[in-house]
Amino acid sequence: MNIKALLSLRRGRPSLPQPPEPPAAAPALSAGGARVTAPPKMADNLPTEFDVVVVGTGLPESIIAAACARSGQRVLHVDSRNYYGGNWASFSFSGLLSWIKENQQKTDLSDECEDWRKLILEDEEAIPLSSKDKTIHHIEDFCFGDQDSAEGVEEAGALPKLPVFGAPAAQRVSPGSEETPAAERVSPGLEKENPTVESPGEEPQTPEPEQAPGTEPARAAPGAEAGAAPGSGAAPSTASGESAPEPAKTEAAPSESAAQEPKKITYSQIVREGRRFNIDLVSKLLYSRGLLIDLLIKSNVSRYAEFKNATRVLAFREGKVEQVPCSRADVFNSRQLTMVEKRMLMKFLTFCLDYEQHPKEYQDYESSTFAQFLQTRKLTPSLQHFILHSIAMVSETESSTLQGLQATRKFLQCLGRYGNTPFLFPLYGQGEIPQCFCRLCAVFGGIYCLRHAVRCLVLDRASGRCKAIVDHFGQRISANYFIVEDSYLSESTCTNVCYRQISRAVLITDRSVLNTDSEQQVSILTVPPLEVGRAAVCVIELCSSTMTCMKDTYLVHLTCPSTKTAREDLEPIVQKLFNLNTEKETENEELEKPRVLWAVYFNMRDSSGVEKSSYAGLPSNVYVCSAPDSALGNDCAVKQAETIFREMFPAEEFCPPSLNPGDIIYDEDEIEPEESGLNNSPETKPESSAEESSSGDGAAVAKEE
Amino acid sequence: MAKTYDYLFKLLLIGDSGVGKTCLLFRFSEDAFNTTFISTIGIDFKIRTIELDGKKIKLQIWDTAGQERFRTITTAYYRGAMGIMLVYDITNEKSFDNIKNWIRNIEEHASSDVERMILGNKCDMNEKRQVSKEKGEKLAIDYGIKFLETSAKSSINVEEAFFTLARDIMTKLNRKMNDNSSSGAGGPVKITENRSKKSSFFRCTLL
Repeated sequence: MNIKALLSLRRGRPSLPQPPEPPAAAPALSAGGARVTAPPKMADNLPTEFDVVVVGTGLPESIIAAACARSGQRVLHVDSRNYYGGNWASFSFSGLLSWIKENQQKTDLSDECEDWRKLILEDEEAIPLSSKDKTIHHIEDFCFGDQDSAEGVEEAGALPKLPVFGAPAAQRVSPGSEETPAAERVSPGLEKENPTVESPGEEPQTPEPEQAPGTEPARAAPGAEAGAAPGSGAAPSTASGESAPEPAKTEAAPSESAAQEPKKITYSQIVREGRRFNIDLVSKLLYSRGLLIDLLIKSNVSRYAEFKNATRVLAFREGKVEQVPCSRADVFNSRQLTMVEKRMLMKFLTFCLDYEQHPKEYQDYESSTFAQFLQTRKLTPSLQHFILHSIAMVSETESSTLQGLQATRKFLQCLGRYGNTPFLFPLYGQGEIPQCFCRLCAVFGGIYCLRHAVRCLVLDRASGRCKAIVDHFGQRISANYFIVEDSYLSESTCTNVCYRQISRAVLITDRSVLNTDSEQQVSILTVPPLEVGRAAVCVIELCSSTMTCMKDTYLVHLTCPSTKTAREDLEPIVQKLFNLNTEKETENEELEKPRVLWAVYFNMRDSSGVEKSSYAGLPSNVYVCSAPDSALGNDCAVKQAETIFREMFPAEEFCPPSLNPGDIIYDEDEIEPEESGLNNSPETKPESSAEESSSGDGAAVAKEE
Repeated sequence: MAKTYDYLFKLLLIGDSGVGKTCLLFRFSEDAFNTTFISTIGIDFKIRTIELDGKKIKLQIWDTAGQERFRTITTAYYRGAMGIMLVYDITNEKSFDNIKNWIRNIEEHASSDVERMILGNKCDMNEKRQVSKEKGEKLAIDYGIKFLETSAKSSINVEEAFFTLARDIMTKLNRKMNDNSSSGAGGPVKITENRSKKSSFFRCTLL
């Protein structure tokens, strides 16, 4: 292991003969993420030779990048967006608004300059990559509060999203485009805010949601436009000094008036506290014995993240939300189940755990659906519902008995490892996970560039292999292997590809779908299809202690495979579970439901399951990673990453434990990083601090079984 | 495994490439200095346990993994940090100017109550100095944070810097504990932790 580490150290950072400075062109895509606030510093040029170039920073790409760097490859990892994660990203509220705006506008970049074509030699061919993201459709966002009150309100501490950093960029900015410092703009909002809360009837806003234009004022906030505002002009002291007290104010206000009523959160509070949100584009949970958890532990990447247990599994039956007892303790403590039901349920679940040992119990039903099988098992209708929809989470009409049994067993096997449900959720959102793998890659010498678009792959006609990329500076970067995320491929590459779609909704609500003594619950709820031919909808409700939403709000994610637009697919469910009215005079029944403060619907392209052979004209050393799938877990991404890595490097281990910090050797003589030279290293013994350096933490869990 | 410490503090080093973050880290954690690390590779974090007021404090100090070079530090790097060292190089004015950009970055991604400190490193190279000590002090005062000039090479003020930051975190922590503002709702799960040693118990909870 030490040898490897040393090799990767030596190879990881090529010495940099500085190539001439590239033109400081503006990057093509100005994405709205709240991620990285500065453009790459172009004075510091990239090396032009790598072993592996990875395009896209979603989960599978990031895992591959980490695995390659870990095994000693020189990795360049780029993304054309200014944030990590692609469609796996999480955003602050303002970041999400910018993302929405950008995807609604769909600016046409077709008149783009194709100067890079000149760089292609005669014995080469260019495979152009797409410069726009076409994976998001039908975005509709709605605000159910009074938006006017939010006019001019800015996210506390929000940064302008574009050139801030890096001296060259900052200097180019004309002084006239400076944004008003955040603090100044907040004050008008503050004054207006309280009146608007208390005047319910005044504006009989129909639940018919407002379209995008209405939200315009609020959106302007973070300075999403490319031209807007280099933050370097705004006095830093304003930002630090003035924004700090705000959270205190806003928290104090609602708590006074909140005896029993759920605390009233206004839109302007959401905007101002926007940083507290980490809103996932894709909503997933980690199965506590799923492939991703195993990989996080095995690779020691788990040291970069923290998780929270999903605290309860819910069911939606006969118009009501109820908790599903799934652990032994839950079953015994359940007040909704009768003694007989408890016994039935325990018996059935115990059987599922090792159903393969009892083939007689189910073999007559192998050709029936799991739902039909459950009907034969002396279970009451509510138990059948729990098992089918909330535990196995399989289709009532399509899933076979075996699929149902497998799914039930998987659920049960995941119980108890970290808590009373089978699921974990990463603090700060799913978007952290790809970044954690990126850090591992960087620790092993991988070089990172965001806002770095790739114009084309360069194909060598003689060998039929891809040998380089040309980036948006016209720089040619060569490598042996290329990993490209599906959305970067051009239309001509993908003409024969059939994509599925995922329907997504994200809601910010004022209370939980099922109130209990604790407000801090992470819940998963499967809503069976309302009509035949539709898919079940997975609802994940996150509380503020997951660090994904502000205090006194809940973040609700709805996901299903698409049959129509996201809104058509999901709004019926939203109406059943939530109150979309803004006035107080709603029926009592409606009042018990959580109020939706803000919502967005969108369809996301699902490229999982696309065979590589469907892509036209890709060389064998170019590998395609897919965008997120609609499944709850992350197995698909992990499997894909491992498969691609093994195809490239069959002899290498996939993400072995990374070294403990103390084990890394620094070669005193390192001058010429390319030369491989364990032998001439005078100091090869591991550093002595290994004892204290978090050694073996990960291993302990891995061995726990 | 008995805990060998009373507190664990996560600290970060931030600043431009080449200001000496890794050297400071090595000076503090290993009492070594090596001019030959070209850039930060392979260093995740280093650990040193110190004693303050009779308490053993394990300092887990994270390095940037070179991701500051193209300004692509992951948000995950900032999560859970309790203290941040902002480092510039006194022989490089630009690295000093960028401190305020790094501070904005911290404000966006780190928790709002993180303790910060500014270090002007390489103070042994006075003959090449571009940033006066007064300028450094003034910047620190503007932000209301502490400041030291350090030299990882000559081992000047490195111990003091980390001890000061640790002490400030400790003070804040004590104040918080006195305020007794604990949120009762189950802390986060660190999946590296050896949580479920109870493999037999596991079957029980299972059903």
